Amino acid sequence: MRTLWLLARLRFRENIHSPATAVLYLGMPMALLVIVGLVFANGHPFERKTLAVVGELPPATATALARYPDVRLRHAQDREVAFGKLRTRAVHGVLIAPGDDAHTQLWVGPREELFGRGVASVLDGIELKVAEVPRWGYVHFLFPGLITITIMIAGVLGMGYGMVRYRGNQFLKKLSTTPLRRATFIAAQLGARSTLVLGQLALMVAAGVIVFHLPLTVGSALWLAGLSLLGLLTFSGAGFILACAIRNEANVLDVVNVVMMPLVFFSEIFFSVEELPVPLARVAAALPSTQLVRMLRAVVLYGERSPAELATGGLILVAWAFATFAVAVHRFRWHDQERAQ
Amino acid sequence: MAEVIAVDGLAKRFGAVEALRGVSFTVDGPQVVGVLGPNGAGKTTLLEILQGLQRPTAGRVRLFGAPLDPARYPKRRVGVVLQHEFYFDRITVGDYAELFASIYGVTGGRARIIERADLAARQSIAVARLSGGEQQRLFIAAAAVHDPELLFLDEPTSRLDPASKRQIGAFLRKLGERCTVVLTTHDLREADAVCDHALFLVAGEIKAQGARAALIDAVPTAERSGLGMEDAFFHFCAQRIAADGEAA
Repeated sequence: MRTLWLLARLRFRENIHSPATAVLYLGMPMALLVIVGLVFANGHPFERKTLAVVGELPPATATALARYPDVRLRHAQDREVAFGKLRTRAVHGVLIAPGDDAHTQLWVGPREELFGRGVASVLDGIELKVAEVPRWGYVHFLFPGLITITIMIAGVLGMGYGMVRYRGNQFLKKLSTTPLRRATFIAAQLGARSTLVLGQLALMVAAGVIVFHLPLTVGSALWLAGLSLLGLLTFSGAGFILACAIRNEANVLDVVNVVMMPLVFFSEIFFSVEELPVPLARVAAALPSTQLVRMLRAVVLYGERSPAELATGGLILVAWAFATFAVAVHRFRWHDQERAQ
Repeated sequence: MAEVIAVDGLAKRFGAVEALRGVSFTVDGPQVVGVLGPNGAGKTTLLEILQGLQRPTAGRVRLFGAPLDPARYPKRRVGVVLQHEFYFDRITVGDYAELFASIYGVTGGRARIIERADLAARQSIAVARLSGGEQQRLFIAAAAVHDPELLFLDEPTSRLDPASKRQIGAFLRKLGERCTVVLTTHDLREADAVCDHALFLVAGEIKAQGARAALIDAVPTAERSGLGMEDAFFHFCAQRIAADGEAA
């Protein structure tokens, strides 16, 4: 009994004397509560219905829909994008503004037919149509998010943990005594991690296409690979920064969890960040993970592959990559200098 | 013999701890130089300052006649073997040699490392499967692949059995014929067998320094046979070590 008490006391002390662990155990539950409260402040995002709008709706239609705040209108740049979102369940229906003689069309999936009939009943001159929606549509929506999580883990945890380990076992100190250039070492780390990530992506894409009928072309697969490597670069920079801040290998997982948990919630991996309160949605939109998810979704699911269409997201990601690497290079140290031997 | 290292009034402080106090010495080369002292004497700190890994709190250091500047450290003239050398999981002897030959840009360096470490028959096996002595020979040969003028080794034999210690000692004596080898150790018998010159460092201060023979000659005893570095060390440092022991 005495041994049990001693062991328990020593373990408890070990936990509370590690600042990172203390943050994880004491701060994280509170932070999670706040995050969940903010994310779901207006109810579950899926309670509300979202319609993608192609073209300019007649004023009467727009006014009639405005009376129902739980039906949200989101402008889509063309039919292809709008139907891509319908197929992946990112929206519940597509409203197509009328041409010269035609009616406004409302397209819904088979499971949303009742909702479509309800909308049609409160609008004049609506033609309701039911579209074919693939069985795995929401899985397709999640796929780019899962790739983003994989890349975040590879960059932040893989690179961060690797550097802390190399510093702990004095490999970095050893290298610092040789003529090896810092850039060569970092490029080698990125090269190894990129190869690993490309292998992971190939496996995920194969499973996505074969099992879940992911609609992937050779062109979109190449875009996916390129964007993923850009994302890896950004998150690797974040991993290097964490490695500069963490001294103890045992704390890496705790700190990485604290960083990654909010990113997963706020990065449009499971639902659109437009469902969040406006200030949070703006913060979320500026995150590299959100931009990566959006671009991957655009190229894989909605057929957007023109560089102009991806420019904004790409620039935000490049800016993050520059910023994280600038801080990492500034803060990077080969070894602890202030420890007496 | 030319001046390789010159240290004047070196001090290093970590917060409230004074790791080095007013350390001054000069080392000419080539020869084998031992920095001898008990654990916590400041040996590794001194070595790290000489390697450009730590900045001194005060004092001046010159390497090869030029002031030491960590930003322009003469890495191609110096080799370093750390107390605990890292190697990748599953890396073979050949790949390890290839890596360091490549880092130092030495053509044919892989073969040179393997030959000097006397591991030709074991180059395809994992470094982890080598004996402690074989590993240490590999680490030293790799750190010296570029034929440095100065080679630092931190406690190179602290984890080795007596037979391996003897092997490494012979290896270092051979290296010391053409380059200045500076090693730290608390094993006074090993130092006696390997070092031409010694610095006795206790509690951050140099208690004595000089050629091995001169240090031993300074021991005031009528019975000279069998005298060694251990006798010299305790002659110069016993008072301070005893004081530290009482304080502890």
